[in-house]
Amino acid sequence: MKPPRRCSHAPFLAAALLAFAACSGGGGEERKGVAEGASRPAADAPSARTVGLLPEFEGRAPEPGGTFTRALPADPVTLNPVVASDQISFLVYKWIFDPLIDMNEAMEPVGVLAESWETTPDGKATTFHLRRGVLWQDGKPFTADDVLFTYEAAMDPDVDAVNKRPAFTEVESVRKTDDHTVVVRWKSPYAPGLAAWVFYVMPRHLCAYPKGGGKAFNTSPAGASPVGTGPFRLGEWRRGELVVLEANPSYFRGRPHLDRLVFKIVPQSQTQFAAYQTGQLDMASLSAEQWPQVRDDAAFLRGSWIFEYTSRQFFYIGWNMDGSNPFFADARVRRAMTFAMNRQGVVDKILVGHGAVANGPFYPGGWESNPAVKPYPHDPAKAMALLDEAGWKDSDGDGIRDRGGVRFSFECLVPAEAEMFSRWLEVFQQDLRKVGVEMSVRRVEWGVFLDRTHRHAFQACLSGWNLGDDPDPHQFLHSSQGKLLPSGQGAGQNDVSYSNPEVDRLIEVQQGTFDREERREALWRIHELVAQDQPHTYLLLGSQIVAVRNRFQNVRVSRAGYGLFTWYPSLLEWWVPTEKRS
Amino acid sequence: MWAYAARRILLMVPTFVLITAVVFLAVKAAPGNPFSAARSTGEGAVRQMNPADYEAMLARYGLDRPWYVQYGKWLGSLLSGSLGESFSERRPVSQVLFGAGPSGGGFLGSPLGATLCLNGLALLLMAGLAVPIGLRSALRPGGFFDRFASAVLYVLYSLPNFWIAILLILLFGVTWDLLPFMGMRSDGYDSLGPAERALDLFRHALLPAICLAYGGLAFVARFTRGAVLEVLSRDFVRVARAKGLSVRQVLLRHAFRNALLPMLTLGGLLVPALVSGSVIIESLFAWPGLGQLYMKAVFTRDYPLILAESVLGAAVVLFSTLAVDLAYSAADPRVRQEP
Repeated sequence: MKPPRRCSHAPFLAAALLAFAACSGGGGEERKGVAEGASRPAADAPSARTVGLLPEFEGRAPEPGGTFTRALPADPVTLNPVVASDQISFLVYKWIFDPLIDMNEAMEPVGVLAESWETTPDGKATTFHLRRGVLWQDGKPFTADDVLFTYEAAMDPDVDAVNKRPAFTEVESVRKTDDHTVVVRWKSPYAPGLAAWVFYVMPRHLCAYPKGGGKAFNTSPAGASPVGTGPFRLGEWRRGELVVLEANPSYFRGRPHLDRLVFKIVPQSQTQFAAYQTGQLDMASLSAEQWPQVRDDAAFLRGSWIFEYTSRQFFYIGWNMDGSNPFFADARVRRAMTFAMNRQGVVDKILVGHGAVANGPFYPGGWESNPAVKPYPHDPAKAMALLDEAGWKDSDGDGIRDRGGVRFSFECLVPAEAEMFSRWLEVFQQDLRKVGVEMSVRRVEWGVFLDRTHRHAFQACLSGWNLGDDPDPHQFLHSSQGKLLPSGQGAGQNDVSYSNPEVDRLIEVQQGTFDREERREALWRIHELVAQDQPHTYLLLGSQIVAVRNRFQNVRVSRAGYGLFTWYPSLLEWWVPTEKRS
Repeated sequence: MWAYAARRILLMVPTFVLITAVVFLAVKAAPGNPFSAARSTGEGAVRQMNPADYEAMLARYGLDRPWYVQYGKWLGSLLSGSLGESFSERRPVSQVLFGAGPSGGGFLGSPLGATLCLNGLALLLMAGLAVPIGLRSALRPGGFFDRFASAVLYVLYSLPNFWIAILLILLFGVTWDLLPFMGMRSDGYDSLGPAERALDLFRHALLPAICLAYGGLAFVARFTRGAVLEVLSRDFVRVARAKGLSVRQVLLRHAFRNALLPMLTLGGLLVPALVSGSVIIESLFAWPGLGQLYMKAVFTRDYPLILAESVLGAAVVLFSTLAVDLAYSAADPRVRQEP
């Protein structure tokens, strides 16, 4: 049995694999005419388009009506937002239910069911003021009791919400002071805790269950016939075929402009793409093979908005510095590795420009990311100088450096399922060889990969990570998360056993700092220190190319990597001009 | 006859237990479990799970027990008539397989209904084309038609069907825009009359059914040809010819009827194909059948669902072979004898 604690790791890779099915295509439509396959500077790889609005409709008031049809690769599992743990269910239930707060396109928290909130100066309590006059889709009013009920259901050990509960570990209590005020008390001041309240609220009057009835809640009818406060309500759900959502006329923000959202279950991307071309779908993710097919197709481009955005997930090689290998405990060696590897080359050649070199664990351009930290350049000379300095020299003339009789030859662990990773490693293998370092690649099945990395039983490993809605890097970089528990499993995601007391201190400081400017200072400093220490070589971020039919106006893509839908209000602002409706 | 049937049915029990045990072991051997399988397919934060909390969830579903205990429990509930509860859909497996979605849709809306509908058409296409081709080939074995047909059918047989599927989608779906290639019904299906509904289903099923059918043409045609040729070499055919009947008359009136007996075997082989959903074709054409469901079940490590589909497949295979054998023994007493 593989270690359970980090099963949440798996979705990251799944996302990575899918993202990379779609990320080595061509550029945005702006760069039409660039020779296919030619390498381009990656710094400007994502196309400049952030808003889709035809010039003739600028300034025109949005009109109601229209249907947006998109594909889902599989059926939603359940539309009960507390029990659902998969991304596909989320893509549907997020329109039926509302969260207390949500993130906007710039990754800033905005109120949804909470109109406003404030945290006490000591950081020990956050008060949410709930919006008044919000109605459930059955006409009953929404109150603080619904928030309490949903929170208690999520914390009920009998309820399958294991992936929701960890976000609330710092919560001491949740109480209401009146029908429209909820007070959350924290065990200690904890700034990242706010992001946990991107939490979808369910109706108490329909879903409440007697004490001990948590098991029944997991399979309650709410999963199949949900009633929320959200902008759309469930119209039809034919399993395996489609889900239809219809505009909720009594939505608190006003009825959404679109009449209907249709999710068709289409597992294969080839079919999705063909269906987009024939007009049966209004959106398609374009893959490596698909984009070059249409980049010069005038009719296709005339009818489409093409967006390209950098995903939030970053890929890295972790250098195990727990002393089990003679190489990576030395920061000079880790820096040399980063200088030696031509990451830009991988972005240019393998991703054909559709990605960006990473410079740390934070999303480039995000508020938490320090703009002064630049990615290491590809500089083999510098790498060699650093390795010399660290005592790794080729004393026996076999082309591989050694020190005290030990050859600099290590093994990099990589999940076999991610074929793209192995292609990158082939490039890095040659790069390292040029500076006198031998890297062998060990491809293992995903379960084995997790098991070995959790037990810290590796020298180097290639994987992907995403810090989530809040940039707190605690579980990834804090030294407490790199300790091994008595069970032999790592305590957190710091698999490389990185330990820098100053970074630890700053991580704790930013956790207790609610003022974003102040918190940013600590995060920026962490970013600098991590860039110096290189506990991981941050490789790159991939990008997604998405086509949306351009009869939809006011289509926006998040510059914080959230894409088209996973922020607020996103789709709620889309509209279709009457003359564009067929 | 009855003793024979009883013996055969008793023999099915260990076969059945063995099949399900092997499937159970195989899915258990795959790493992961229903709650760890990667189900996320997009961006968005997923948080860490608490180890104790996670173990408690596994215990709640009995996933912490050794495999033979889990298998035993599953077999026990099967004997009491229950296929168990799907982990991924959190509802009874029987409902997942045979019931429609929350908004109804009838039996057709269930994965079993969808697959029966698609595979039924595929079998019709296959038999409707291959049997006449086999007969025509048997008419002059080694003649031009025989050689030409077998060459064409073998070429078809060797073409990978996902490749043909994509080709058909691009040609008939995108370039010529003649046939639908996604899903099994049009948007306005519910407002159509019965005849129009049937036509709509047929149009949606045609491309995937072609993909499922063409590969089997060679097999069925050669089988028919072989069966007929064997009969044609018998004495009664020579007598018929001696009476002055034409080759065609002999073939259709006498030989083909007698050749139907070996073709019972063929039927036994083809009937199980009715319920075995094709993973590749169903997912390429977004056909909501058993094949797609099976793929999802495997990806989410939904053990009860995987087992139920295997049970369904095994049961149909076992019962159709039984039916064929019984039909044989009714028609030919020699089969009943002990070997």
